[in-house]
Amino acid sequence: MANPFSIARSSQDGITILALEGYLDAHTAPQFEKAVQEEFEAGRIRLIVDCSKLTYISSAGLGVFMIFVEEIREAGGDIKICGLAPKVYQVFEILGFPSLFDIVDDIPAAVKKYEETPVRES
Amino acid sequence: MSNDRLAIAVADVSGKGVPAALYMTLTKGLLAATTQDDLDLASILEQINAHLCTVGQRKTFVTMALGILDPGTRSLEYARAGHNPAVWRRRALGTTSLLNTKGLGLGITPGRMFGRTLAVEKLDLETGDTLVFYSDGLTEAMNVELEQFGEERLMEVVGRLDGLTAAGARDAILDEVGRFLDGVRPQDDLTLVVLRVD
Repeated sequence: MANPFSIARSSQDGITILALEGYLDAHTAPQFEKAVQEEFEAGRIRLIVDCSKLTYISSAGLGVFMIFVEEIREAGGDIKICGLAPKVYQVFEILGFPSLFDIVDDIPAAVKKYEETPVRES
Repeated sequence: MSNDRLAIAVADVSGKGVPAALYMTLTKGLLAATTQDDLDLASILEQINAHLCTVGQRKTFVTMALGILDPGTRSLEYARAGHNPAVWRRRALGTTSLLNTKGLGLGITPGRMFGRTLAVEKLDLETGDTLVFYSDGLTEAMNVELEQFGEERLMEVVGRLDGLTAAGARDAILDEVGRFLDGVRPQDDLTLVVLRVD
């Protein structure tokens, strides 16, 4: 049986929040990829990915963050990440993601980060 | 490599199936070419990264732990390109640690950012020391209680294997993972390389 995964979308101050829940792996990564692509194509390029309910991420899931980030930043937007549980953060950290992405504690901190650093250098 | 040096690598590609396998084949070719060219460790990883960034789509990347051993001097250069940190057991000191140097995965970001982030560590190995390179299929092996095998358990196991050969240590680690899983089928593949200094 496939592991459960879902994405809840909302917006706040012109920023789109994608709240991930469950298991982000090779099977569920296409769902996340589609969601980011839809936001990007609709011109919504300020994204926060809330991972507070994410229980597992595999390399395929991490890859989704890389697919669009360059184009999004070139367009003046960004992907900021928040709410990582320690075990999930460790996976991001091993791969070196803290050098590439703003990773903060929660949604308010991510919104604040947009005020300070709207676009992060790739 | 030249001067009897040995390159030891464990790498993992993101995703699964034929595309991932082709990507790893490409990476193996790049590793063979760059080690033959006798580049230093940082340059080897920088070149592989540059090639993978050129040919790849960003969503596919490779992680690699790479060591270059000079058996004559027993020194080992080590770097970690986004890969799980190798375990270093120092028998004489009775310590076990993770080689957690900084480094991004390969094929994620081209050019300067990769090189700027990559750290190379030089280890002076001694008789009885053990190095364990592995894939995340080892530390993320999950039992029926959804608990992962984890780095702490791996270090604890490696710390108990001082008297064994490299092959013996490898088998003992795999046995320990098997006991931990207790019949649960592994979700990911598992690769393990053990280096023991005689």
